[in-house]
Amino acid sequence: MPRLSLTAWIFVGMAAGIALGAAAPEVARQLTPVSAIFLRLIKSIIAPLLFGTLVAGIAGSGSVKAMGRIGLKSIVYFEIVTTIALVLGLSAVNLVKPGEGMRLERTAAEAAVSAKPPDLAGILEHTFPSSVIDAMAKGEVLQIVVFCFLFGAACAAIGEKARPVVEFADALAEVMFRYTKYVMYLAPVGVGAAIAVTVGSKGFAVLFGLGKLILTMYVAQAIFVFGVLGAVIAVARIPVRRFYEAAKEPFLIAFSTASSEAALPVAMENMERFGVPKHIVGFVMPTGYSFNLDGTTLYLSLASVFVAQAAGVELTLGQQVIMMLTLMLTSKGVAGVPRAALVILAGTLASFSLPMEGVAVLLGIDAVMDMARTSVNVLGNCLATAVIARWEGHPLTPQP
Amino acid sequence: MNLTRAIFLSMAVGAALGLLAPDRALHLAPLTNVFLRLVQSIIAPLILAGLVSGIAGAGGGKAMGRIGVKSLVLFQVVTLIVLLLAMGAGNLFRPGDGLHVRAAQAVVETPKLTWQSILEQAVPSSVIDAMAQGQMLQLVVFASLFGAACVAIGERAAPVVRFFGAVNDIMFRYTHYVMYAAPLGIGAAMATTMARGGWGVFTNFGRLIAAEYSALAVLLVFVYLPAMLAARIPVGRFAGAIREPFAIAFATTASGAALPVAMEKMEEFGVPRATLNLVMPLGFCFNTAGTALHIFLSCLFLAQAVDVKLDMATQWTMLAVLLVMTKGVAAVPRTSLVVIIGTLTAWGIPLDALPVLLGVDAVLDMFRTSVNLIGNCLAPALIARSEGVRFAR
Repeated sequence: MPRLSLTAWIFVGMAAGIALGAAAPEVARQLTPVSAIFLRLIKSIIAPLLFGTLVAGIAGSGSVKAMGRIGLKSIVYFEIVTTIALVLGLSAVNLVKPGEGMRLERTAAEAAVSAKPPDLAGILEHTFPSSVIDAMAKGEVLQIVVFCFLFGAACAAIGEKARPVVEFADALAEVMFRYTKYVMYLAPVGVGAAIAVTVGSKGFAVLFGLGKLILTMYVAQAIFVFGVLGAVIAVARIPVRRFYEAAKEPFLIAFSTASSEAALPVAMENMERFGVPKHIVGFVMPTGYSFNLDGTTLYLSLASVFVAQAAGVELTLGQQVIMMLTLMLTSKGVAGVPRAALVILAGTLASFSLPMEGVAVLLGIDAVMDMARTSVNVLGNCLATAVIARWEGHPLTPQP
Repeated sequence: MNLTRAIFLSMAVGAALGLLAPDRALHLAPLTNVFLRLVQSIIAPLILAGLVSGIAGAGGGKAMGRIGVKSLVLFQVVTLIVLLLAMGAGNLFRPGDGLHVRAAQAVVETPKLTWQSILEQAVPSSVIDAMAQGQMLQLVVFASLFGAACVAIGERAAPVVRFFGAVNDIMFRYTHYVMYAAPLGIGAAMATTMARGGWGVFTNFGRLIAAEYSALAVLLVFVYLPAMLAARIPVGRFAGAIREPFAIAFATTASGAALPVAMEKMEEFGVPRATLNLVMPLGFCFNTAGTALHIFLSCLFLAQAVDVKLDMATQWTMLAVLLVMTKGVAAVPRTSLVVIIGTLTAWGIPLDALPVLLGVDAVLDMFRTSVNLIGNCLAPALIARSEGVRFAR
């Protein structure tokens, strides 16, 4: 029997999960612990992996200046791409009008999903760690990045004296990649269980009820991936085949688990092997998790206008743009939290006095939506590391 | 323009902004918080790495043990002097007389601080947890044992010792980077403090402020200065070294915020790193002269404000109790309040005047925090002198 690759096994797991969820939803729902264990194991990788990669990468890249430039380029790139995603979502929803014909009333049930979006000052403060150990314990990716950025820069500045630490970090990163590999042996089972639970608890009926919205979303995401990201690949002259090879595994994991964090370690490892230098992967990937949420942005723009349409509220283009700008600001820095997008959406809808029932409706199909937006997020972030590496003039030669 | 000058400038600008446009100044709080968080992120790795490499490098638990004991004795002597000063000031200025507070309400709920809990809190059950929560004393205990173990097994511990030595160097550089944000964070801190306190505080509670400030001034001039002269510590250079940490402590009222810079400056001043790494964090917990003074003076003030007469015998007993109670204050935030409440309750004094005290606290806090800091910089210098270290003039 020929040995199957891990990706193939993941597909097998997904197929088995869908079949099980459809055929025996009762049994499928019992599988939650299996996918939970897989997700927990993966989350245990993130803090040490980030520390190792970032510190070794930044200390190795040699200069704070280079890192500053990379940071600036990343932000520019992130903003451009997410804006395109936003526009795409808006055009799709205005074109297809999936919300028309539905009737949503403003009732008292609004309180059920009420949520306050975090304010800007809170987000700002939250970006900076008060203790890196605490940040690691709680999985605050952005705080870890800030700490490691300064720590790595300090290593580079004091040179030889920091060598024991840099060597340690380097070894740590290698070890954690191997650790990732072990955990990934569980991926087919974990992923299959995640899909089985989703299908088992939601069923296929949900797909038809709001079919128009789901279809709009998936088509828009597909257009984004093939049109926009494809164009970026062409412009940056990134080898498509190899990029596909590197990105498919993290993409699948993100899709089936709907957790972008779960895909982070594999994504980092694969992009490093793809040829992106360590300091770029270590910096761009985790910051992208907060600032480069292409799929989420697209979803938010689509969903918010959908709710307005369903409620029969006419939004002018100006109002839509203002709403989008609000969403763009509030959606930064909430990655990693599953369903965070819904919280943001609820807060924004409330501030534009749109009915919360919309969120309740969206909640029903959120699992399906979450899969699409999370996997696009991850794909976009993999691409971002490659784009920044090209922009910095790296040839992207494959690493062993 | 160097950093210290920039910090002082921003303090002035911040204070002016806070007094002139308090509403706007209050929006600056996030800036301070960001700066404080960054500084806090330095402390745990700095102390852990510093102590481990320091103890291992000093080549013995014995020398460190001697230094530790000396420090604790020194701290206790200073605390005694400070409490005497507080008693003097409280009876001289009688800051609470004539307030006649009579409003039976607004009792601040605070956790009980017992001896057992203080003792238990000094010992870590997980060093990772201690680092996550910034439990300085637990960290010191763990690192001392860990460092001693490194010394004991010698060469086999070399990779760990080298690693922590490197982390220590890295964290000093890290501190450097964070300090670029200091003028901004400190200016904002000044602005918010002034905006909250305002002019009114100075006119209404002049006597309390005067009592506390003059007691602290006496401590500086008649205790610290002679100690420096006696130990032949160059006063001018010392003042230069502590200028920057002093400004940070004063403006942010967070002694932890000034700790990393203070350590860096005192090392430049000539205190051996091994001594510094032990005495500074210890002093941070046990050598809080300004806080001890504040606690006792506040107790007297609150008693006077509700017209309770405390005879001299009671005051002496209070002093004796506070001698131990003021230790471990730094371990828990807002503990000075806990100790004050605990003491007053123990003597059956009503807490009605407490809200009054909280109103002035911001202004008092600036001074006591910076006095804590001066004491904490002085202690390692004194200990180093007693260990035979000489400071260049």
